[in-house]
Amino acid sequence: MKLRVSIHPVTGFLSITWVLLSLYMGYVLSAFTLSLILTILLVVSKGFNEVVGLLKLYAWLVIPPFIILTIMYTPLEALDMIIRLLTIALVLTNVLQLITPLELTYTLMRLRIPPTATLAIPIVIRLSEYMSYVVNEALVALRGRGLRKRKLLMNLPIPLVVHTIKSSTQLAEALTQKTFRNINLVLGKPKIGLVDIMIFVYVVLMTLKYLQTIYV
Amino acid sequence: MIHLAKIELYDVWYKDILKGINLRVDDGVVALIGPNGAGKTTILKVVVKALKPDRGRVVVPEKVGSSWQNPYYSFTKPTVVEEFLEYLGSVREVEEFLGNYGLKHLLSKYTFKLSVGQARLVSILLAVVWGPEALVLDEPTNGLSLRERYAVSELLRSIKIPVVIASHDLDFILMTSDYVYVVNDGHIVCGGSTLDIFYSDVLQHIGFPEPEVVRVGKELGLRLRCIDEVKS
Repeated sequence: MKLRVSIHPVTGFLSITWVLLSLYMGYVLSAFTLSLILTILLVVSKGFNEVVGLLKLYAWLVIPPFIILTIMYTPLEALDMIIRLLTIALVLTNVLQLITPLELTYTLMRLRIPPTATLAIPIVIRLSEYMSYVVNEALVALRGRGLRKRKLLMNLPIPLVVHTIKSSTQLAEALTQKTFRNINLVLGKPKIGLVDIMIFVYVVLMTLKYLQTIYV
Repeated sequence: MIHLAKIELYDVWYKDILKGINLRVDDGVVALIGPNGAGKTTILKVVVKALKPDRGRVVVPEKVGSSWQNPYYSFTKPTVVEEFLEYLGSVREVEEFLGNYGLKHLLSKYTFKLSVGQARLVSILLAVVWGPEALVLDEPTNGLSLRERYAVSELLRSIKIPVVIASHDLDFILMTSDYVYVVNDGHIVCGGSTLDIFYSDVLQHIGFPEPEVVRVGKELGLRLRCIDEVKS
């Protein structure tokens, strides 16, 4: 069963900042717990089959370094370092997956960041897969006409730049056709939901606990 | 020689893309036919080593020329003549080479301003001109006129290297290829000589209509024969 779960961009950035600060302060377990909560949300939102590839990535991130660190240090120290690494990986990937790009655009615009940049950031995040596909296609095409090594790399930007210009022209034409005038009609205004409140409450409670251990 | 044995490929989400592909091309033109998303382009990408299979064995020559669905990715120079000068040496030779395929008029055209059909033709010639040991073409007839399709077919028939094409264009395949592999849902359903496949009902099973030439032939009570059959 899939439930459509997305988080507010501010909650996403708050989660990342809080996790990184907690790790810096040494509160590994509570940071790791938040990362796990976000992972569960992602699994619920996308379905297990859709995120199983990410698990493969995490396995590569965890197992080989754990073996190396165990040889270099003790297993306990290795475990501590690996949990920190995994926490950062989990929180970054999950937050990026759970934020809706248009909501992120809207939020960045509210921060007075120029529209070109606010559009570019979510596009880069979301379209990185497509971009790598295009680069790969161009690489294969140039190899197919006999270009190799240095020559291949020197010539690679040419079709990519032309493709970008052509695509942007087509995109502009398509947007004009759809009377893309009022950006607020298209962009989704993010709403604070139950998930955001839960994450916020968790972060506040844990921060209070830190403060208590530091000052009391 | 191109040889793929028991090729299996999974995507990043662990879903099968190719399921035990066996393919062998010693010489001549071999076509891959199949519906959209069947895995034809993926097989071609394995042949040019752009994708590494998770299982199986790939034996391909060192130099494989290729032309893909977006022909503009193959261009790096502003004009057509400059693209070919790199390989042919002089403008006269380029003129002669393009003249063989009726493309002399494209000599001074801007590469990125060519129409899709013209760009595809130039891209195919660029894949051939540098002397590869095998050739791979993905949808070579998209956007080509009848005359250009005939020129491509002639070109492929004349070069003495193994050629693999992936296409939906049944008439072009009938005109060009000696052998056909039918691809569906990530595996090769069957393979056989082009006429055998065209006269069987395999193509209809995967959603293709009966080839027009075959249908007309049947109505007239005629059966197509390949050149070797006629000669013998």
